[in-house]
Amino acid sequence: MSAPTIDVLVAAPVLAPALGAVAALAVDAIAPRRRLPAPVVGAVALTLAVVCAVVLRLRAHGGGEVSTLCLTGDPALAVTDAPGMVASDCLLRVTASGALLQALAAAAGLATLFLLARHRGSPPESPDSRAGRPVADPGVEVALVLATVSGAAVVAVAHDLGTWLVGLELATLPVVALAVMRGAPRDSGALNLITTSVTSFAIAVVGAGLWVTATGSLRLGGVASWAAGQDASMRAVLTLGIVLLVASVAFKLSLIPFHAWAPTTYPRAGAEVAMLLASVSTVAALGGMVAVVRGSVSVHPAIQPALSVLAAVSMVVGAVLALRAQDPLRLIAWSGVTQGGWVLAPLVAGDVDAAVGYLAVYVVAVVAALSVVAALSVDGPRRLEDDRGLLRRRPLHAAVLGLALLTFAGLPPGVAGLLAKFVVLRPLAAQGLWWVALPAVVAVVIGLAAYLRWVALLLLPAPDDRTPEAVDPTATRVAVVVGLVLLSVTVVPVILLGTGTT
Amino acid sequence: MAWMLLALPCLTAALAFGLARRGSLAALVAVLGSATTLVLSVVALAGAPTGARGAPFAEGQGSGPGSTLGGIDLTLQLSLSTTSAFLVLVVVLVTLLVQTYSAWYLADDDRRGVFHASIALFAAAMLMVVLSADLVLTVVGWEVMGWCSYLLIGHWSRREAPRRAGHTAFIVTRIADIGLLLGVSVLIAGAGTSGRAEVIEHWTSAAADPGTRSVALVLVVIGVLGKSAQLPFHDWLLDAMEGPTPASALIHAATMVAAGTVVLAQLLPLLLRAEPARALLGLSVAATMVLAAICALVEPDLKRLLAWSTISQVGVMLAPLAAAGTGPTAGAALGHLYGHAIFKALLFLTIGWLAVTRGSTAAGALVGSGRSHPVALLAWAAGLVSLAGIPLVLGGLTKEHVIAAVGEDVGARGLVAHLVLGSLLVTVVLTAAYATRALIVVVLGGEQRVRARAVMPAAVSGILVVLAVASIVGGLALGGRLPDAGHVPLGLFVLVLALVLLGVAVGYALSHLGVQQRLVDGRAGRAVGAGLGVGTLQHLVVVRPVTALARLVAFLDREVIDTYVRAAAWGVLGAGDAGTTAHRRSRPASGLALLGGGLLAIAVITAIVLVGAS
Amino acid sequence: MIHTAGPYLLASLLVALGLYGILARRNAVLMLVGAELVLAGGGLLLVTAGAVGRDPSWSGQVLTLFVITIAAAEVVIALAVIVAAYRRRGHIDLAQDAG
Repeated sequence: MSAPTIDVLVAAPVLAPALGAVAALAVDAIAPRRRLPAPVVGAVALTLAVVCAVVLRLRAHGGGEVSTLCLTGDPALAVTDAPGMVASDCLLRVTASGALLQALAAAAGLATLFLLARHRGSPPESPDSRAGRPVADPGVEVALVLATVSGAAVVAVAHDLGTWLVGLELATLPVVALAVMRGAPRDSGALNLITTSVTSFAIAVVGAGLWVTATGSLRLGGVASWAAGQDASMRAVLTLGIVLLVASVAFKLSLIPFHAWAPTTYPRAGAEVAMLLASVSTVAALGGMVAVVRGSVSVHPAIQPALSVLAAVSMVVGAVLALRAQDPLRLIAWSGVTQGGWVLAPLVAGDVDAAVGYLAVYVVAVVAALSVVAALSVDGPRRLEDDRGLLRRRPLHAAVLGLALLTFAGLPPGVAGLLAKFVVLRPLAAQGLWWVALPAVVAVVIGLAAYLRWVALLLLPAPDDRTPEAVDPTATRVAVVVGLVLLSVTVVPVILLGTGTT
Repeated sequence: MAWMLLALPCLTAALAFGLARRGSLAALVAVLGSATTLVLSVVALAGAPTGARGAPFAEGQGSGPGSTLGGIDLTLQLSLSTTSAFLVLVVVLVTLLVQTYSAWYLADDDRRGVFHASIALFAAAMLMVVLSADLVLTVVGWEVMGWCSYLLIGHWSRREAPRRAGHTAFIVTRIADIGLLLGVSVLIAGAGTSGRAEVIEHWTSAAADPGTRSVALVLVVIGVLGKSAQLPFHDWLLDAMEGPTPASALIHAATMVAAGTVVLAQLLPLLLRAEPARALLGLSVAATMVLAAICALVEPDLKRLLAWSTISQVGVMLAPLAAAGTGPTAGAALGHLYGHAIFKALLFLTIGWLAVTRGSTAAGALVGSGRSHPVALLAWAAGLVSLAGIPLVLGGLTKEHVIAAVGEDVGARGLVAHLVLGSLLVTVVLTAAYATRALIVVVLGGEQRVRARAVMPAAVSGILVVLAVASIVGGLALGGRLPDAGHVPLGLFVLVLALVLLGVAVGYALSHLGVQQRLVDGRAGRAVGAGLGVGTLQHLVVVRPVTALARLVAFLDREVIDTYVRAAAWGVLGAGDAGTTAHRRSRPASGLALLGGGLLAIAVITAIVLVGAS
Repeated sequence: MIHTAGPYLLASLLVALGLYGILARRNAVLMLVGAELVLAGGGLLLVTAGAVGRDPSWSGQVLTLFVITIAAAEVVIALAVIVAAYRRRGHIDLAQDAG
């Protein structure tokens, strides 16, 4: 058995952040007092990852995939061939949607890095927090962010359980550490997060065991599970294993009823960690979910009801609770719940590209919104009411925030959000899955109210005695750049949603 | 050429509106625009093709863009013939005189620019009605006229009375316009095209259903009755006296009230084949003529007297269309339209000046006012002579043609024609009577000497002189231009002369014997002054049911339908509050419990599905 | 090769005990113990499946080693969070809020 070859370009979106994390820690060990080198290293690594992911997406365009880590003729990878499907010999297979997920994770990580590298962080919600504490360990934070990104990047292209488990945990645990470091002094919400994560990992391992029992191999793919799906006794085991794997990823998408950590952790951990959770963590979650759903093609009708219930309930309940949120981070948390449902919905119909397209639009919008929140939170945590009349005081921030909120709601001029919702609903309607499509429509209506509430506050005139709030320049720059990306996506939605319309 | 004639007033209106802030500049623009249009219409008249017999408006030779909409061919054409060019000339002449007069009359008004623009737009709309060879364009012009009349009547909008009068005019004519729109729609739908020539051709052919044709024409006649202020739609014209006098001179002399005549003349081949429509028209016209003339005799306000007179004379104008034979119908009606336009405009403009000198239009205030300026005296007398129908003057000439057209071979045409003829003859008497009354009041009445001569601007004098001359000798302009109005037999001529002299005698006797004053001050005068209570009737029959229905609909929307919407919102918000309360305590243990429960739930769901599938 | 019923039974027992520990224990450390039990059960399942299967590279068993490593990392972070929480809140009772 010869050693497998790795095409560095194909593995770059995974390798660059990982090596960057190590390099950041090394730099931090060499020069502990200096603030600047570690974020620079991190930024370089993430930029490299973004560029390589975009190149991969262009290469894999049109339904093909780019692969590496191929072990031809390896008996360990031999599985019973399913009719019409050919097992691939490669372990790292990047499709267009997978490359998009990698690019999203790296870009979001870059935005978070800029926010984290500020001298003062944004103060989290807490009765006795001081206004922004100086950052203590820039190198450690950079390493944590890069580790998260590399975990998300590897889950997006994982085709076997080992990579899947490692990547998922790599995407989860550093965020917990960051929440503790950056969160509110009294209670950072990290305890909720870690207990849920540990439980989910445990369930995932049990699910992995059941999968291996049923299929006899570690490979996550439709080919691998086909034989087990035909055998009646093994089908039950396989289905239970898949259900457990789905449940373990569901908490990262903050689907109901695995959502309880989200409304606690988002406000208490601060805007930067919330951005990481909402973007990179969600990308990892979708990557994991896609890998599992793709592998369960043979028993898809059996797990469809479970997925439908998760999606439908999350969409509606998330929107209803977002309607009553009083501060921006909690609203974004509940918004994340409902958007998690939206992201899962096309997977019920088996359409992966629609889910990835929707997630792409969501991630761009949420990063824009959270960077505006971070920019405005220099003087302390904000409530929604503080944004009244923001258009007059801070027009740039209000414009970016407004566009992001309209994209969430799916209203013009947030055309990208509208098209994303259409892209999600189309496979559901095509396959007649009305019990998911109708709650989706209800969720759209309720979501309109929830997001337009905030948009209305931006536009309504405020009492005149408010001075414009102090804004953080770095966060403003990040907000403007992401806002421009969102604007270009709005004008040319094909950039992100193109894969979903083929 | 026709399109240029139409475009010029539109352009004038737009320019005047743009310059509305600079009142005098707007007035200048308006006057110049009207003068240019007048020159252009003279040129057009010189070069216009003569319409064929039976199609005096030459709709077959129209020009314009065509388009197709929903299976209907919209030709959208205008056509020019000597008849339409002549009418255009009349309208544009009166418009020019009115614009010039308004420059003096409204010199102190801060909204005069808008007024001039509205007058120009009004003229454009009337030209569209006259020139159109397409039913859609006719309706467009008709409706724009209705809107302009609302603007002009309610011009002094800071006061309550003109606003109400404008609303009344608009709503009453609108309600009547329902008939016009429905009738025109039936005609267009049946013919599949909106060009008038094709519509007439279709509906006069054997393929057309006579019943539908009659219904359509009845509806059109209803619309015409509304715009022409015949019974039962007559009260808007009385209220319209709240508008400035130049507006009344234009609307109630030359244009809007005459538009119905033009439309019916254009649709004459169809009208002649629709007996029920003619009968309806005849009944209304006969009653209106006589009633309005009686009311004019006892009306206390002189401007409203002129309004009653207009109502009556428009009835005379419409009489040939209702009752005459096929030959001289259009000619007689359009002839009297021309005559009435000239002398009624003259009378309105004169009373405008008189009212300015005396401060009011009530008969009591205007006693002897004509003697304060010779031009005013001359103008008033000339107009009334024409109105009364003294033979050989313009008004007399056209009225005789009307009576001749209706009376010719009347025996062959049924009861309604006889009724109309009888009403015409009675109206001749009454018209002469109230014309005498008006002359006596303004020129001769009162014992006190008029102390000083009032000032009349040169422009106004010029206008009044021109109109006075026209209303005496304007009959010369008739000739080949309008369709043949038939021949007046000598016997009829003598009869009409006798009736006019009788009427003059009655009028003189009434006022000399003091009966006139008693009538005016008594109950009859008061009832007539209040519009004969028709306004109250309309309020009861139309306004109250419609507003009650509107309140019902609003109630249903607010209390019935909105309740569901509010309940949905309340439900969702309540659920949101409940959820928020549930999540306020952020215990990790409850999160884990939720997780376990969820895991159990989806495992159970999947198990059920598996068991069910096997 | 022993009969696989034994390991499967033990694995399910471990998983059940672990789930009870996760859901019913209020002490954070004991909840962590429950999670470790579940992980142990899952690992046992993996090893059994790897032994039963004919994979020449023993991927099931190798994955178990990975799982143990990840679990170790996770426990480190979890205990660090618990210690930090204890310092800030004064207790590690999962059924109480931050106080």
